[in-house]
Amino acid sequence: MTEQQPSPLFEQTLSVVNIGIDLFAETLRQQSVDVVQVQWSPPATQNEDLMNLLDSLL
Amino acid sequence: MTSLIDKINAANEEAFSRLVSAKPVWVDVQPALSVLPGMTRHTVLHAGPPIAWQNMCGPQKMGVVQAVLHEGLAADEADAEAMILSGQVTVAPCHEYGAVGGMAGITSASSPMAVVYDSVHDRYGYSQLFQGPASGLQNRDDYNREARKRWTWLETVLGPVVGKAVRSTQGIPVKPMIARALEMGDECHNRNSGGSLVILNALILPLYETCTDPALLHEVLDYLKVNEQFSLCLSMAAGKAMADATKNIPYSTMVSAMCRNGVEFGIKVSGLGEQWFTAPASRIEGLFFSSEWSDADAVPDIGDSSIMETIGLGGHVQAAAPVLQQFVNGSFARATSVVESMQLITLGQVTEFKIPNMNFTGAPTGIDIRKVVQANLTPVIDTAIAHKKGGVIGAGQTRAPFDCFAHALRAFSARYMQQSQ
Repeated sequence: MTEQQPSPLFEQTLSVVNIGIDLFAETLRQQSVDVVQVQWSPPATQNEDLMNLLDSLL
Repeated sequence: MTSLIDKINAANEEAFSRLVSAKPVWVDVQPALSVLPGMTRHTVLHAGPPIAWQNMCGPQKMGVVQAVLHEGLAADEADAEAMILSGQVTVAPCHEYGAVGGMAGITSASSPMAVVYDSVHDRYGYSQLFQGPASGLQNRDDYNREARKRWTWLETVLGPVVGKAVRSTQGIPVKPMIARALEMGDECHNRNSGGSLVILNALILPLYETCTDPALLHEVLDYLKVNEQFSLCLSMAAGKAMADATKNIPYSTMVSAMCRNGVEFGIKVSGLGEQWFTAPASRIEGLFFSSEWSDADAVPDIGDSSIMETIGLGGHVQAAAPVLQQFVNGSFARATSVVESMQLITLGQVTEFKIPNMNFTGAPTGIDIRKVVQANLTPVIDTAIAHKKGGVIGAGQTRAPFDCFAHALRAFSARYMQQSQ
């Protein structure tokens, strides 16, 4: 059985971008990891007629 | 041939540039009857979109009756209600008379109005002066008596004394006051401590030079010292003048008014003229000033003060006033994310209104109904909370309801897409 090398990811300083739920970013910050937080939430269901209107207006 | 989208973009550029180029200046305080176009002795104005008196929320309904009594139009409440229902008293939105009113927004013929003038667009904006805190919330009659006593003082002392002082100046420019207030930790809707100090500073010498009665001078200075929200009336009057200058630009999808009456939230859109688009007013997430109050005592979102968000302040620049996050158990990171989300639904940033602690980024201004619908994000409104029996009992945040923007987008498309085909 061959022993797997540890991923190089764990041997360097982490650069983290967290998208969405900011609890994950906060948890990393508490461990002194630099995190860029991107506020995002899945788009809510939209009325199809409004989306169709936007095709001509935006 | 210019496409519809090109026409919209050009119209929005024009609307946005009018907000930026406006130079509103506080020039006077005068009774509503003297200055509001169309005002009569038998007219009572209210905050928010149009609503029949019988459908109003408690404090607004009660306020209209008290205003009728205060103006001496009726002998008692029953008489006043009969006059209102028979149409002998005109009940209409402040917004339709060039004015804005905080909370219930009750404005009658004698109400002293801050007068703000923008010479760039030749536009006036008016706002009632703050009543200030009223005691007697537990008892309706006590509250009404206190409120009317306060109205009389505003009409006979504060209005004339401050009006004379302001007239003795070259006028007090409002935008620089707002810019300074943002630097002092205000977001210019729920927090106006910095702005009110700037105004007090600007008024001290003119008051000293024009008010010869020491007792009256003392009363006025005491009012200005205590009322940390005073500068909001001037910001609101300026906001009204600025927003009105953006109205009626064909093809513009920019919001030109946002207001609430405690029952409905209403918006106007520049390219759609004077038509209101309404949806039920939201509840407010916030803190009450005393543990005796709860959501059960609170009226849904009310007041014309959301004119501040209409011009890109208040909830749009929340990070300028981190202390307000205490009302919603928030954080500075939350405040900055609110500002960033408002950038997604607005046309641009007003560099005159900078948020110091966000690298001096400009206020996200010019709400575009297309972007609101596309992002499914509505304007964040900072606001006070009114008690069902009258008076301010808390403060917090809420959001404009999505349906206003959806209705407006449908109406916009019905008007302009046909024209372009």
